[in-house]
Amino acid sequence: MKTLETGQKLIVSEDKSLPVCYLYMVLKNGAIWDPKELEGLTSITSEMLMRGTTTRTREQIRDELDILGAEIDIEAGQEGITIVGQTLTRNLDPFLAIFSDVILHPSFDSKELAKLKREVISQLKQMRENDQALVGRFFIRSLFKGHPYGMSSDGKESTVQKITENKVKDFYRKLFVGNNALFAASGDLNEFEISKKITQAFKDLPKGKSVSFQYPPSPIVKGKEIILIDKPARTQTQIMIGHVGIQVLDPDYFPLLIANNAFGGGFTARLMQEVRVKRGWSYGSYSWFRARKTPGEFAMMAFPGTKDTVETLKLMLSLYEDYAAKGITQEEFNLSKNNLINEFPFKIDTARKKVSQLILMELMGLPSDYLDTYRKRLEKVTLEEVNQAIQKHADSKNLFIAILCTAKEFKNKLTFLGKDTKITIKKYTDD
Amino acid sequence: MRKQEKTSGGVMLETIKAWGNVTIERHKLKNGLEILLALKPDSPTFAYYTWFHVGSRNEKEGKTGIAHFFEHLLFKETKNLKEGEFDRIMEMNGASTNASTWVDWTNYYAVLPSDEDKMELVIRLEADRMANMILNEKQINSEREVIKNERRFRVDNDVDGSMNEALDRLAFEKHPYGQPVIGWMKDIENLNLEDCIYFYKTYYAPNSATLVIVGNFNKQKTLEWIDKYYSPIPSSVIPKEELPEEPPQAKAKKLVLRRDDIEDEKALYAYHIPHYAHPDIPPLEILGEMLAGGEGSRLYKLMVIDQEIATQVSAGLNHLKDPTLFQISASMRKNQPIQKSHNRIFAEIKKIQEEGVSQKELNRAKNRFEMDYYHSLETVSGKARALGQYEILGNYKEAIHLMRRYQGVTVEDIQRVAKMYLQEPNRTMIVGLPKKVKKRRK
Repeated sequence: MKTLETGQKLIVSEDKSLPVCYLYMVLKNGAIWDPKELEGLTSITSEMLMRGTTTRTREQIRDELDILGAEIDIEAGQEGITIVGQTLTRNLDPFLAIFSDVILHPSFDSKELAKLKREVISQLKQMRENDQALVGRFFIRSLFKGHPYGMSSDGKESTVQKITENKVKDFYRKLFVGNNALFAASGDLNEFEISKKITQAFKDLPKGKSVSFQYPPSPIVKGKEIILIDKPARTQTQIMIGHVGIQVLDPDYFPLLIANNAFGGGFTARLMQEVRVKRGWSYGSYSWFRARKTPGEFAMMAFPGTKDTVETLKLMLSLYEDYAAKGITQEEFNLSKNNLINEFPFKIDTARKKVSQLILMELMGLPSDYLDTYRKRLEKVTLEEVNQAIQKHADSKNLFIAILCTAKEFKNKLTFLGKDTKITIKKYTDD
Repeated sequence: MRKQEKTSGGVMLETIKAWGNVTIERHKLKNGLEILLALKPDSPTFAYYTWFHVGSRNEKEGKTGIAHFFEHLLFKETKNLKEGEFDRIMEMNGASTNASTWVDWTNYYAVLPSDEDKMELVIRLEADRMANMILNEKQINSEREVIKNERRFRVDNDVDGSMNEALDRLAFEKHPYGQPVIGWMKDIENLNLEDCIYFYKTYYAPNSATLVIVGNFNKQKTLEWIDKYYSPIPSSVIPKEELPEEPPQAKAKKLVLRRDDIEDEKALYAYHIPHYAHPDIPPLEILGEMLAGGEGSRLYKLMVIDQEIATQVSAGLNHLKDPTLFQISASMRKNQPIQKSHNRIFAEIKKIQEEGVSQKELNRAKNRFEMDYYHSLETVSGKARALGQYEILGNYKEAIHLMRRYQGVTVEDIQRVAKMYLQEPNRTMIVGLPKKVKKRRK
């Protein structure tokens, strides 16, 4: 990794096997910075870059990129914005001119903004057709209610409507600055040449101030809480269960990686074996914990047929209870650990993946030797450490459960969870 | 092509260079197993794909879903490995494994870190399951439930899945492309042990398969292990494929689906077109790109950006062995009737038929196509998929020289294929409407 004359870090990974290259500009702020009443602002601001510059209309940007066989994609994540461009190598120079223009000189045209808002609102509605995306959205919004992680990058209909041209411009001016950015490049290019080109193209990027985010405390789930998301005519149910997990720099990160891989990571893991292989109740069943700057979610999911829903829910809860109480076995530990150590090359087996990992390290504040020591750190972990980490972090008593189903069939069947379990029914069309 | 050379247990048929530093060799064992080795020396991983030349096209009515059913069964018990061992060993070695079934093929893959022991292991296990599966009622019944849930997930509870299934059913009257790859629910419920044994014995044989290995590995040793583990497997007698030919469609067809879970009106449009090797496929595919490939395409610009009547529009085709469909799809915005989509799409097609397209538009579409092509080849798996798919379709070299076929397309070709295929009598339409739509409009 090198530092450009303009002060930003530059990550480069060369691969000359195909005549294409990728350029990235990454900003260290993300959608969790959105003011609550303007949820979706980061995403809208980022997308507006592609909707016209001071010298190019949206259509001109599109036409010029298409002629070059190039693309620019913008991903406004919760803790980072990535603007990634891909181009045929022979067109790198004209591509870079467009790439830098959209980042440096967006026009934030009011008509285009109004159009984009209508588009986003339509897409939010369209998303309701996808049961898995829908249950995930309800789960995260409810588990992290009141916390920035509970906001959705794409916002809500009611908040997207409130986003104004001035808000977008202010947000852009504050955050699209040199002190908040880093660059990366991969593919058929040369490190020296590309660093010169990027420096030249972005020489007018204002330095600005480096920014930081004040995270509020993580939410706490007490007891068991359920939301039933009512959608008509379902013959299959989507179940998500979980609680707040750990942060990325937690010392238990690697032990928990091994633990979760054994519980719900792959095909041989407990969840998949018990729910799918032994009983055939769901096509898939997995668990994960998302390690973020502050604790992200731990979650497990399955999607059984309607008739098996209650039994699947009972089974998942009892599997988690057993895991939280007894941890994993030596055999599970060996398999999980070896799997994670051996699959490491896939994190970096292409130039683009390598760059993605290095960007993630920067965004999450991971140590610079993270990739070099990844396998060693896993190798050092013992079964005892894994089971201690499970004891500490797996909480089978306090759980949040989201179930997308045709609700009238279920509410009365959930009494086995006890009287204290709070059950809320929401319509799948709720915000 | 170089002269045939002797290799252990089989013959090397040819060797060529591709994609920068990749060397590809084609070999064949005496039992009919074809092997493509694509050596990419700087890769830390390798992809091992087994392509079986069998897919849902080989299924009879009443037995739909069996090719896909097998995709599941092949991860079960063999004479040498008890239930669950295959996955356990693979995961222990850091392998990513999975399989997929399509109308023309079924493939199984394992992607592993480059290592000689791991290469021998995957060859041994893949050869084992080609020949030694244990099939019994218990396994079939337990997997049946998983597959029924997969169908609920992909089709019954999924709007797009349901509409696509309805489209194929309506468009194809004779050819098995009209049957769903996952199978009809009643067929999944009725498949029995006897069906499975017949299918396995017939199609899971070396003369029905192509191995595609891409990445960094020791070529000589890999060939020796392939010889050692696969050569003892006898070839099978594969029945001659006698598929009904789809008769030309003489009249437009349309079906309306009303569902509770459809948010806004939507439609699929399909036109019968030839099989992959036909020279009209490249211009048709580029026509799809011009109509709805990205923001700069005609329909996207018109319906999504300018008029704001749709949330998405797409167009394209699949590369298939037999005559297939050119498809367009559109989803409308809130309160926008699907008739507007019909009007815009048919008018745009008519415009291309009458006025043709510009050279600039053609160049744009070709460039986008080229970028997508390179994008798909980025990983060892991407290369293995491309080589295997085109080998099934006729010749793996098509994967390497794909762009040549597309670069030759002219503006005249585009207009000609639009006129020839995108005709009303040749069209099948599925319209998806929310159940509540009638009430809302009163």
